[in-house]
Order: sequence, then C-alpha cells, then structure tokens
Amino acid sequence: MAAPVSSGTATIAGFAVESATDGSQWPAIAAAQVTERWPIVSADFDPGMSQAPVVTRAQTLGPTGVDVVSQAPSVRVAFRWRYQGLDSLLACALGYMPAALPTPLGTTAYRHLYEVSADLEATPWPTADAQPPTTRLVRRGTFAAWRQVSTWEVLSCMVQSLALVSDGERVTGAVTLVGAGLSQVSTVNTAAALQALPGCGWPLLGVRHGRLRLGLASPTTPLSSANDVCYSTCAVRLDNQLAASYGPRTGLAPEQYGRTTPPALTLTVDTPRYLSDAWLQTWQAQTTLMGELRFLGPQVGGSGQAYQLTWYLPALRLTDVRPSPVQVGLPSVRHVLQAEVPAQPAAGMPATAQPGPVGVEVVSGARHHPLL
Amino acid sequence: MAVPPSITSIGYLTRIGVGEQAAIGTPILTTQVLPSVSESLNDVYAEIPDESLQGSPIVDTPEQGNFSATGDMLVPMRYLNEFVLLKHFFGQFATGRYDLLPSIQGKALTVSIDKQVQGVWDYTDTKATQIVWTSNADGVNLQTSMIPGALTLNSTLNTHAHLVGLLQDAKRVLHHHLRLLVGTQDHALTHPADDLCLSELTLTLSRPMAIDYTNCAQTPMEPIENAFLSFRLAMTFPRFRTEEEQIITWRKNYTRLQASLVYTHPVTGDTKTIIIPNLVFVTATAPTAGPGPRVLTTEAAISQGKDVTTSAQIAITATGNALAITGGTFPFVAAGAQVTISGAATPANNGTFTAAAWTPLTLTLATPPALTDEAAGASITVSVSNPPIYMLET
Repeated sequence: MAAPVSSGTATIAGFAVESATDGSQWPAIAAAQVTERWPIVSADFDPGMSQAPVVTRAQTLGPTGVDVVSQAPSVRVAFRWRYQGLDSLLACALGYMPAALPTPLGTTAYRHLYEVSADLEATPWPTADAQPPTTRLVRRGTFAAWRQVSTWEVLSCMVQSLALVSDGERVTGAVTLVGAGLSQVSTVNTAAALQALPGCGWPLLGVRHGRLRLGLASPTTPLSSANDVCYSTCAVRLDNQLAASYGPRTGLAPEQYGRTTPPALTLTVDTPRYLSDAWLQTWQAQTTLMGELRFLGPQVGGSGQAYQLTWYLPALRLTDVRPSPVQVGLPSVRHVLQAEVPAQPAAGMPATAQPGPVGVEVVSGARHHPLL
Repeated sequence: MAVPPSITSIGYLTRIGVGEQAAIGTPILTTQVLPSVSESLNDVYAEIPDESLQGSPIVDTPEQGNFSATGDMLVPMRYLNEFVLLKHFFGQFATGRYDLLPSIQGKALTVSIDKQVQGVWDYTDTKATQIVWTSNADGVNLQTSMIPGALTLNSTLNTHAHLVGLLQDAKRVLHHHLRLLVGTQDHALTHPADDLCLSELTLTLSRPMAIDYTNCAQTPMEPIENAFLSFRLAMTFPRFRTEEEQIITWRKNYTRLQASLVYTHPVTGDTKTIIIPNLVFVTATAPTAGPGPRVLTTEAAISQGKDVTTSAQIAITATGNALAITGGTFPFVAAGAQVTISGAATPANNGTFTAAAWTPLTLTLATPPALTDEAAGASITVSVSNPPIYMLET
C-alpha cells in the first residue's frame, strides 16, 4: 500500500466544544469529538514551541543543547462563511447565549443570539439560565483536521480573534485559535471518525445578500434603507485579547487563557469611490453611530424563514476616514469604526443580557445550543 | 403541446440600434441604426468556486458572481451627422462639432441588437471606453470598445419593428476621400503644401475607465475615467520617399505638429474632418524587408498643446474681436481653443475666451465677450490651451 501523502483537497476538519461538565479542568481531560464537518479553506498550525539554546561557560565553541521554554500552539483557520455550522465558533468567540435559546421559528428554523461575555474562561452559568451546578459555561473546544498522515488536534483551544470579510466576491472568515496542546495521535477524532461525518449542505453567505446600514445612534429611530452603505469591502473583526501564563500547574503549556483587556471589535468599510465628506465630518464630530451588517440567504427548509446572519453594533465611533492617496485614478475611502458599549439601547436591535458592543443573530436550521 | 417554430440567429439579419440615455439606469429608445460588421459584446457572470476543503477533490457548485460585459463593435463609417457613438465618446456635440469632455460621467448609451433568438438584446448603461478609427483601402471603420452596465433580453422597448424603422445613411466614408494635412505649428495647414499620402492610418482614442462593484448590485457601478485619456495616430506610408523625409527630422526633434484628416464625399460634398492641433512623431521606421521599396511606419503621440506668449506689442481691436502682434508671433491656436488674456490695460480685455481663428500675427476670438480697443503698450500675456482633438462635419 502506498504511503499516505498529505493533500489539501482530502482534508476533513471540524471544531467541537468541550463538555460542559468538564469545565473545571484545564486543559480538558480528553479531546472533544467532532460531530460536524467544518469546510475550511485553510488551516495554518503553529506548534508554538519556544526554545532557547543552552550556552555554558564550559563550552565556548557553541551551544550544547536546546531547552524548550514554552509551548503555546495555535492555528489560523480561513473559511467561507456559512449560515449554519459556525454556531460553536460564534459561541466560543463571543462567549454567551442565553440557555433558553435558540428559539424555534416555525418547525425547522431557529433563532440564535450570541453576545459578548465578560470572561471566556470556564465559569458557572449565570443564575438566570438555571443550569445544573455540575455544568459550566465552557467556551473552548477541539479543532481537528485530518491530514491523511495523521489528525492534527489543537486541544482546549479558545478563540483569540474572529473576522468576517465581505470583499465583493466572497464572504470569508478567519479565526485564530489558541490552545493548550497540539496532538497528532488522536484517539477520538480518528481518520475513520472524521471520514464518517456527513457532508455539509449549509448555504454560503453571498456578498450581494449583505446589507450594511450605518446611522446616528438612536434609542427611538431604527436604521432604515436611508442608512444603506454600498461597500466594496466590509470587515468586522473581534479580538478577544487573550493571554496566558505558563505553569507551574501546566508545565510548559499555557494556563487557561483569559482576557487582559476588554475585547476589541472593529468594523472596516471600504467604499470604491470618494463621493462625499459626510463621513469625514462625522468622524471629526465624534458622533456616536450604530450599525447593522445583515446577510439574508435562502429559506431554511420549508419554514418560510430565511437563513440570516446579522451583526448588530449598537454603538460605533469612527476612528479613521481616509481616502486613498491622491494620484492618477479613482480614490477609494476606508472607514474604520470602533464598536463600543452603548450608553443607551439602540432602536431596532435585539436586547441582550448584557449591553455589550455586539450581538450576532443567526437564523438557521441548528436546533441545539452550542454551549449546552 | 404545439412546438414553437425554430429560429436561427443569423448575422445578416442583425440590426443594431443605438441611443443616448438621458440618465444612467434608464434605457432609451434607440435613435440611430449602426450598420455594424460585427459585434462581440459578451455578458459574463463571474464564477466563484467553493474552494472549501471537504475531503474531496471535486468542488461544490460554484456561485454566480458579478455581471460584467465588454466587447467591441466594428462599424463602417458613414457620412451620417450627429453620429451617436462619436457624440457619446467625445462627450459634447454642437453645430457640427464634436468636442472632447474630460469625463463622460452621467452619459451612457442603450445598444440594441436584434439577435432573433431571445428577441432584441438591450445593453443598457453602455459606455464607450475606446474608439479606433482605421482608414485604409478596405474603407474607414470605427471600432468601439464598450462596457455595458446591464443586459435585458427580449426588450419590450427596442423591438424588432422599431429597429427596422430606423433609417441609415448609405454614404460610406472611404480612404480615397481622405486628404491628410500635417505640418508644423507656425502656419495654417494648406493643400497641397502640407499633404501626405499614406496607405493606412489608425487613430486610437482611449478613455480608461474603472469598473467597480459593491454589495448593493451584481452589476457594475457606472464606469468612469480612472487614468489619463490617451490618443495615438499610427500611419503607414507605402513607400519611403523624399516627400516623407521630413517626418524623420520631425521625429528626431520631437517637433510639435498639427494635423487635419479631411474626408469629403466626392458626390455630395459631405465632410468629416478630424483636427489634431498638437502631435509629435514618436516613431518613424523604414526597415529593409527585401528587394522592394521600404515602407515607412510612424506613430504620433497626441496631447494637449499649451503655450504662453508675453509681449508689449499686442494691440486689441474691437472690430473683428482680434489681437494683433508685431515683433513676434502668437503660438499656434486651433479654433475652439481656450485663450486666457492677462495684463491688458482694459480690465474687460482680460479673461478667458474661445479662439475663432488664428494666423501667426492675428488671433481672432469668438464673441461674446467683446473686446475693447486697446493700443499696444501693456505687457499682455496670452495663454493658449489647444484641445487634443476635435471633429467637424458638414
């Protein structure tokens, strides 16, 4: 039999949240079993091994060895954004969705609403969610990719950053996962197990199904078609600002990651032509805005409900408005906005348990809460 | 169920109409038939493959991306006045003169093609981004590169019956109707002193345009100019003779020249005249290609000609609305060029005017505004900005 050769097209990948009853452990005792394929575009693994040469006074001709100082594996995953199949990722990236959700919309469609939580470490569920005390709110999981030679697993990985980019042709995603360990000897996500996963039929987000609205923040006047912004590229990026120390409990591996500063969420909008100074003046006036990036897809089954992904940004402030340099040609304009904690509710946006800088609403056929 | 009769799309049955839209996004009833030889307008939806890794070397169904359409139309030139394609490309037309606007933003054509199958195809919001005027023994042809914004099949606006009803001018512009005058900018071109006889010329006028898309539409935004407009004139002389040897000197010295391409119908006297006030030869080659006569091939760059003259010996006369210079000459000024006068003692004589006529010693300006008599004495500056090209027809 020929030796296996690693090939991109043969790759099967997935991400699974770790057990809610296993949350007090760091890292998890075992890898989580991937149960759905995640059709990624690429995965760039970094073993994160820091090494230092051993240099002694006794040997001046060169180092005599290498010490492993720390191991902090990570993986950068690029993917085409879909209406379904990214529930676990969104839940781990933002951190919270009330346990009572998702809400059924008819028979086959379900509404999810993810929001930013203060922590991403494993914590008890909020009292209002009425979850058993033996369970925890776990926002970490296992990313596994079968690479034909072996399955690479990033264990107990947390979402360092998540981005959605809508660039005129595609809506793509990029996520960086930081984990406690990197394994090539999985006993859970074996080649046979991953190959047995059913194929995915979730619709892709289409660029022209995207609708960006930006307008003055208001508790009474919701955004309307008058606030539509036609963009050539729109990107929303969440940076969770995670950091971890090393040992002594975990040895060379990182302790459980936690936020060092509040999460940063930015919205970047490129318009293809420089047509107005209105946004420049809004930036100079430091006016608070609100925004909504919505994608609408086909119907979920025969539910009469459309697949939907909406990023609600109740408070935004421009931090840069810059036409491209003056030269031959048509300048485009880049607008960068910082999402903030809203001082007041934003009209037309769903209420979240905490008034955070973003709420992500998904309507899909996924009926389960990804963190339960 | 009755089977509909089969229709075969045939080239010689094709009719093409063209009309100037009043606004982007609003198709219009075509007004002029284009006796085109060929058209290659295509309509393409970009293919966006799903390159996600799913454990299989076979990809899923691609998605449909943005609509784009481009293509060329080749039209044998007619002595047809107010030629819609040229009006659109130049941007401005009035009283028999086509003038080049810096931008044709807001202007577009509806091009209707009766392809028989799927009826009449309306390409709307069409912009012309380049025209190539070719003149040789086969005739004079205009090739126009187009960027349509959208396509409607089975047009209910421009029907087969409508296109059949459009009249066309049968008088073709032919190469032997051409009188080509090329000369330096120190005199008005005259026949036969400035005549050049050539076997072929190609005049290329380009308006580079950006095609941009947003999430709001699958069709492109209105294409608009995103680089300098460029103009070239390529000429081929069948024999390299002493009559053409001055071209070598002009090319060597980058001498600023002027040119006129005058086509006159031998029977009706209709004319099409292309005026090029400022050009320089950038190449002129006559390689040895065997025992026969050498062929001279040249290319000229066409640009905006600007000049400034300052003199205290310029007199201004209200009669004739003219300036006269002694002890020097005015720079070359094409009719319709922009002339700016400053330094005149009479304030009303300062300002920006349009040139009506020029000789080296006299510059006549169009009225209004009217000039006021002023004797020479003041140090007057005359700044001239000649258009790169314009076209006249009678």
